[in-house]
Amino acid sequence: MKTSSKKSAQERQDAKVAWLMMAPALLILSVIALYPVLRTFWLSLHEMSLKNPGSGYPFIGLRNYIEIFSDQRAMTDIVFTIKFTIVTVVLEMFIGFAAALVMNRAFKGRGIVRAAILIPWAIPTSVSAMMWKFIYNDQYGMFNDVLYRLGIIDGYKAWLSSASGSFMALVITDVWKTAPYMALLILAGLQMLPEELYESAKLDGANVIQRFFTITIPLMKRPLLVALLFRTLDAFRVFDLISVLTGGANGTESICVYAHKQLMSFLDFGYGSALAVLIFIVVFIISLIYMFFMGGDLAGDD
Amino acid sequence: MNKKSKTTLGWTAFYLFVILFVIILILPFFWQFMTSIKPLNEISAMPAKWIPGYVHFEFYRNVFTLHPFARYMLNSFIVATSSTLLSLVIGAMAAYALARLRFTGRRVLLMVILSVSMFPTIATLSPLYLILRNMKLLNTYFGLIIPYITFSLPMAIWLMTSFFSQLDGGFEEAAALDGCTRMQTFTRIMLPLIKPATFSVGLLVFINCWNEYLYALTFMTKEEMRTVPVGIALFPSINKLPWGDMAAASIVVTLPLIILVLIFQKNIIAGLTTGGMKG
Amino acid sequence: MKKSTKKLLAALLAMTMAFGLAACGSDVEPAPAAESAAETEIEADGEQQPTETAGEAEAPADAVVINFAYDEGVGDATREMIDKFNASQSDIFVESYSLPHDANNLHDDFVNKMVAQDTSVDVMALDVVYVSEFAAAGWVNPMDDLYTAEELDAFLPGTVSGATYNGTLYAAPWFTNASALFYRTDLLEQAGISEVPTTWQGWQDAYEKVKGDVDYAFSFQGIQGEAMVCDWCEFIWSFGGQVLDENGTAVCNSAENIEATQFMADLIGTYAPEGVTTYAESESEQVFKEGKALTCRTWSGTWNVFNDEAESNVAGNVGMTFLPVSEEGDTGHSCMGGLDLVTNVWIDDAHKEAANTFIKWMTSEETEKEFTLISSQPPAVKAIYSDADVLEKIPFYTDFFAIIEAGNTRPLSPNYAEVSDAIQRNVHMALTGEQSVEDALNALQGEVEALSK
Repeated sequence: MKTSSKKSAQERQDAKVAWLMMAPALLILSVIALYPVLRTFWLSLHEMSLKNPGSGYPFIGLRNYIEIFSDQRAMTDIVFTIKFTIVTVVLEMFIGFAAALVMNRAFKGRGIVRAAILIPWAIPTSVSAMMWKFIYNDQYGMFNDVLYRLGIIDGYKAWLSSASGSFMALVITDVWKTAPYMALLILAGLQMLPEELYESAKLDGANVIQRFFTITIPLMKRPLLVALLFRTLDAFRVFDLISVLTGGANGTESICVYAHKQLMSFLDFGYGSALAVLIFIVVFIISLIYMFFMGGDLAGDD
Repeated sequence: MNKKSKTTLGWTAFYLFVILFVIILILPFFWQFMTSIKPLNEISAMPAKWIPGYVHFEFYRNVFTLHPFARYMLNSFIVATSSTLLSLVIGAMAAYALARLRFTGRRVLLMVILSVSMFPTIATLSPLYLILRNMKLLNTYFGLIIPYITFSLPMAIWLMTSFFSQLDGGFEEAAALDGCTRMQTFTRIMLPLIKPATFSVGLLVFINCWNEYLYALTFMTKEEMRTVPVGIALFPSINKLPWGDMAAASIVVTLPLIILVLIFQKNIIAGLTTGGMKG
Repeated sequence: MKKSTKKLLAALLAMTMAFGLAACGSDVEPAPAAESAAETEIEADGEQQPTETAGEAEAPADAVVINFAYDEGVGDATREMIDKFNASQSDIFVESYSLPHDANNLHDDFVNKMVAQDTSVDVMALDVVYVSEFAAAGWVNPMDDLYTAEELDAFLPGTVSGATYNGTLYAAPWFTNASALFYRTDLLEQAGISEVPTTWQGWQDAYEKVKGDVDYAFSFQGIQGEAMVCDWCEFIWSFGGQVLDENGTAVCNSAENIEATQFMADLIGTYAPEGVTTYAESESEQVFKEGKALTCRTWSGTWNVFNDEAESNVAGNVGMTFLPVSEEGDTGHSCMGGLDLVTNVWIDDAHKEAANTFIKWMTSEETEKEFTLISSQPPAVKAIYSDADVLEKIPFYTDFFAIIEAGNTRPLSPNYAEVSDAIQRNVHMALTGEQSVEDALNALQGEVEALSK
């Protein structure tokens, strides 16, 4: 009996401390982040084409959303974005994990490798995308030159001129840029794994592969899923890369590119906002799925 | 004999893989570096030229003389550092609360925090501009730091929450037995334990803020407040895309980040203090 | 002190320092930079900051301060003009900021400000295709009373009609732009061709003669972007086609257009590089600069770059002429571009007046002449093309004036963004072969028709 009341007192104390510790974060987020989100929701419920100021921007409920589903272009873009997200995230996970395992090991030159691995992530996206456009050029591009010299292709190609070429180019560039990000996140998780488990497993006679599958994978489940979650969210919202590299040509227009077009180019703030909200909803559902796989509580095991 | 050659084979394969991996990662960057020291008429030579006819550093000179690039870098540094530090401190506190303390509504809060960062920035730009203008924060450092914190916080909180939750509960029990309050447990024991994770998260947040373009372009219009990505975008003139200058600028911009990594890498890969429980 | 506490304190200290620096914000002085490249900003309430940059002045105590936003593409020249204006009188002081040379960036920045009913910018440099859009949205002030009929006459007619919407003038023509066909004078000489070809066939024949020395006959822009819209319009004009007819009805899938687009698509991979469907101006110019192409279609200002020995391998061997046509005897029509000056509808009358005075000064013959001499951008004022000083510095303006006079504008409409987008997507599919030309143009026709409803 004494234990239970002690527990609830502890719980109440905990709650107080908890809210105190979370206060700064929640304050900033609600003041700065919440208003834009709410405003966009609100705008999406109106017919708001800025070129018709005289229309009074009437309230139309969910009509914008219904229109999205009959918008062929939006649907195609969503399909492309899903395809792009799956391919890049899977590739980045494998490559990132491999890189993290490498960086986790002690070997000569480890420091330089670590710094080198971060370089793709460190270059500003705007410059990085332009650099890759240069690299893919059909006349003076380095990509063509390297492949040609290695004998992989027998003539320079215009990679960004075809649908398959564009998709491949986008994936390569994105993986190049983002695998380091995944690697760093996974590495952080690997660093937290307790050494004793490996020691005792070794003593029990487990080899590298067995240790990997019985210790590393299960313990890395949560950090890995968090890294994957964030990466998926970013991949689904891809914008800069597509804008600079292909402009959305050859079927590579992502849904964010289209939303931006509706919003800023066509000045349809109602429909554009609805697209933004839709992106948000999809991304939200994705994160719910991830939460489900993380099984139970991300926040510690009670 | 067999075992030894197997290990050597293993290590050789390992090193080969590492070298190949690094080369593929660095190759575009190396190309960019070559571009920044090539003579102007060789940059887009057809077919691509790997060895420049001669080497010059005029582009690097241009970067700093034709534009207030040092100023841009200072601005980027101030904004990115402040955002990172603030995100880490605020985020760590919130993450600890969410991971280790018991109270209702944890999961909901996590989802809410995450959702806020999921919104496409293209839609939040306009309303955010309004808020910042009304708070008179345009063209000030805080005008960028605050939006940057809002997209760094969710990631920092989530990552640190997951790392905190990986820790053994034993640490806190021991601390409680020693008479520590929650806050003391937090600062003296839990924080240091996730240090490698904190540095990794910090580095990622820093790089994110350093490279951010859209907000920086919209909220900072005064020349002396501009950050590096926007600065580089201001290089092109109406008939000329100064690719040499931009390549040089991108090298200049990446170097500090690499140096940062080299300095802090020990912290990213700190040996885990297993001695926390012993003694 | 415990190590962890030390670290926490260090972090807090760093944070405090960061706060301090951040709070200082825009009071920190800009690093000295050479030339007039750096902007000098002065607090709006009149407080002055000492700076060491050249060309700065202090706002006179009771001057009206207006803000001018422009394209960094013409950054240096603009800043010189602004300094001159500020130095020449003390009633109005112009502050300014530049935006990256990207039509989208400029457009989006202005849209954000207009939506927020921002008064922080008074004068904006707007791309000519967006004037109708901004006028329809009610974001810019009418300028009918800014110029007399006589003064308007001084401008190129195309620039004035481009700045008009529903019969009212909403923008002031600042500078214009037209494309031209650049070609290799040395190759024509080598092939013994004394008369510069004017038709597509003529150029293709010329190419056949010099095939050994160049890889391609043509280099142009086919990227899915605004650049390609200009190119496509020029192709269809060269075949006698139009986007909209005289009544404003869409005629995108006319027979001439189909023929023109088919011709354009067939050039790619044969007479022009395969990668043309990814080229904006810069990439297409590189091909010409490397000496791989006989001709290059791009904006007139590139003349200086093509003749710059430091970066162009064909310097000194470059000529400029009309765009090719399909039928003998026709004139090639270039696409017109350029920037106009508009005023923000949200500013008060005092600022409006000051803004108009500034705009009038910027678009006067004297100022435009100086601007052209520095920037080499084609002025909107006709007389400058025959000015002796200008012709001495930019000799090709004698011929170029004829090209400008024959220039056409892209369809003027508040929905230009949608029309351009429709053209970009559909025509690009035709160019890459993803769709047949007929299907693509039929789809385009459908989309443009739906827009006019």
